[in-house]
Amino acid sequence: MHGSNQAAADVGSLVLCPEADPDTPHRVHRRIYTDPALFAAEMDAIFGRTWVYVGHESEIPEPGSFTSTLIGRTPVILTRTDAGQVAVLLNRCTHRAATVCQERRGQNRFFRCPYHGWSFRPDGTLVGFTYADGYDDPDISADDFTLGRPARVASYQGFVFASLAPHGPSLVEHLGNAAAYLDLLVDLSPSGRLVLGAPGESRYSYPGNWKIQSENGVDGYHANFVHLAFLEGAAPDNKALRMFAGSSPCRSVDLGNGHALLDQRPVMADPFERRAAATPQGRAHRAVLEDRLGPDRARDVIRTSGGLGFNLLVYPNLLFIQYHARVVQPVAVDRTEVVLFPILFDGDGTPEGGDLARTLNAERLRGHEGFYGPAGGGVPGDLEMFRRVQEGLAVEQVEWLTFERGRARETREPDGSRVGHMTDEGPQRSFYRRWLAEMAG
Amino acid sequence: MGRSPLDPSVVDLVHHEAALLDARRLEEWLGLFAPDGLLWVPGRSGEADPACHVSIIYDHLPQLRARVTRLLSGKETAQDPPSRTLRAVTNLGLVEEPDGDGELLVESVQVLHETRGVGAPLLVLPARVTYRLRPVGEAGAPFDWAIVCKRIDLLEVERHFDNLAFLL
Repeated sequence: MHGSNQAAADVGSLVLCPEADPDTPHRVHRRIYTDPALFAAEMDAIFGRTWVYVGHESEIPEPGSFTSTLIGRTPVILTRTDAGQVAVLLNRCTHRAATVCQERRGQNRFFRCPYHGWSFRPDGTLVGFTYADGYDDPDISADDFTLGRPARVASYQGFVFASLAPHGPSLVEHLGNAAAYLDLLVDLSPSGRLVLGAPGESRYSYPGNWKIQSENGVDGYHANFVHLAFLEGAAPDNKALRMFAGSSPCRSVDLGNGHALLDQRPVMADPFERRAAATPQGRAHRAVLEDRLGPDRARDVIRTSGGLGFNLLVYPNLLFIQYHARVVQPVAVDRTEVVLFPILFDGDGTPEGGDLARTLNAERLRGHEGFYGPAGGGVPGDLEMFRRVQEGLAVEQVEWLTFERGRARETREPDGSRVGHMTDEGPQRSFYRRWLAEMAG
Repeated sequence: MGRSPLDPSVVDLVHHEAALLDARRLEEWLGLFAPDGLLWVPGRSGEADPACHVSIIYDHLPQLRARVTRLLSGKETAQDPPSRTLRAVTNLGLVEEPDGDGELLVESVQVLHETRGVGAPLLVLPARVTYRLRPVGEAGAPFDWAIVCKRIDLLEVERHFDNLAFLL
């Protein structure tokens, strides 16, 4: 039996589920973070099948614009074709396999493989063979050597996802209850348009398994411990500490499909609304949104303030937190790279233009840098925890990690989601329910 | 890039700044900055506009103070145990002569070495570090210059870094 199939076959022994909720792991075995065979199985069963985020349409504004990224360990290119279509190409020369794109981002007319000079248009078609007289066999045509593509590509609100599997749920079905939060993010933009990529990225890595970051991005339990020094300094009124306290009115939500949410709005919505009223740019922002969205939706959007009002996990490896989209990139079973894309506003949404977006964008960048990135006030503490988790996983004698917090007190909603306390581990149970279904599938 | 001989007081300041950081005398280090002082670590190489490009650090003095308070609080998880650092400072040169206000721009090459605790790997961060300095007139000031902007351009700015909480 193939190694990763073997691993998938015994995945049932790597989780424990309560009798009353037999599909929802509340304990997972240490091996899922340490076993290279299970990592390989995840690359097939999860990243080889499910919808994986590959970038935002604003990163490729013009024909020939491109970014390069990975679906699991498969290198891909997000491009815009000469006809203006969004395309995702497999970054693998159809001749002798070299990657045709090494840059993270750029603009060009062709992807030229440096090995033997084969050049591909942004839609992946081969321009022609170099030294074409060597290909005089009538059975060989340049048309047969178009760059490969993932089986499926789809966008939601400009966020582009790809799936390497030809069959499965549509992107909208996959996003399910998570889609409404992407709508809130986008609606906050004065113009209704976002820009990612051009503002750059924050990058970090850690010597630990990728799932530790996916778990942590919707973990409301750790903040008052790992980030105590920051929160005490940043919030003299203790608002942030209250948000993550045992007595917090804030919620964690298992959105289903592996997605999850921390909802900070019960504490933060009023302050967001007051803050928007306190500055000229805040008032201008609200006025533009009221024109575009109507007063009720504008109020909801301001009171959420995009990712300031929530942390969103889009299974398996995409997070929206504060002002950024975060991509968790598995490298090896014990090595992960993470890229944070600040989300800025594209234009003011007013015909006369002005400085509104520029002012708001600068605020967003400063807010991002304060906590996120490798020298921010928060991320380094998380990285220290991730490193320690992987270090502790070396203890073979203690086998299980537990995600049982709040299991008894969570409530089920009509839309299929499950709501718990901010500090509960329902978000992680959501992740592992989907993980188990895909790995066992 | 044109270079002129440096006033010894400028050389002293740059060396002293590195020594204070390596000794973790961060409160004293804050005292080297002008009231409008800035620590800037751009997030990309070459041209960077902090209004529309993300930085690794963009701290004016109030944020810098909060950062130092947090690093020294004993509660910062990312600094438990604290970093030990050594900065090698070299290639000092004047980039811009004093302007009308007497401000000048000095550049240096610095190699920051960092480790934490037993068995922690040595992190080496080569960087070009530039200082915009303002002459300080008042008596009793520890130096003739105040730092208006310290800018650290990391050679490996595109890298996926690990914990850089110590970076100043």
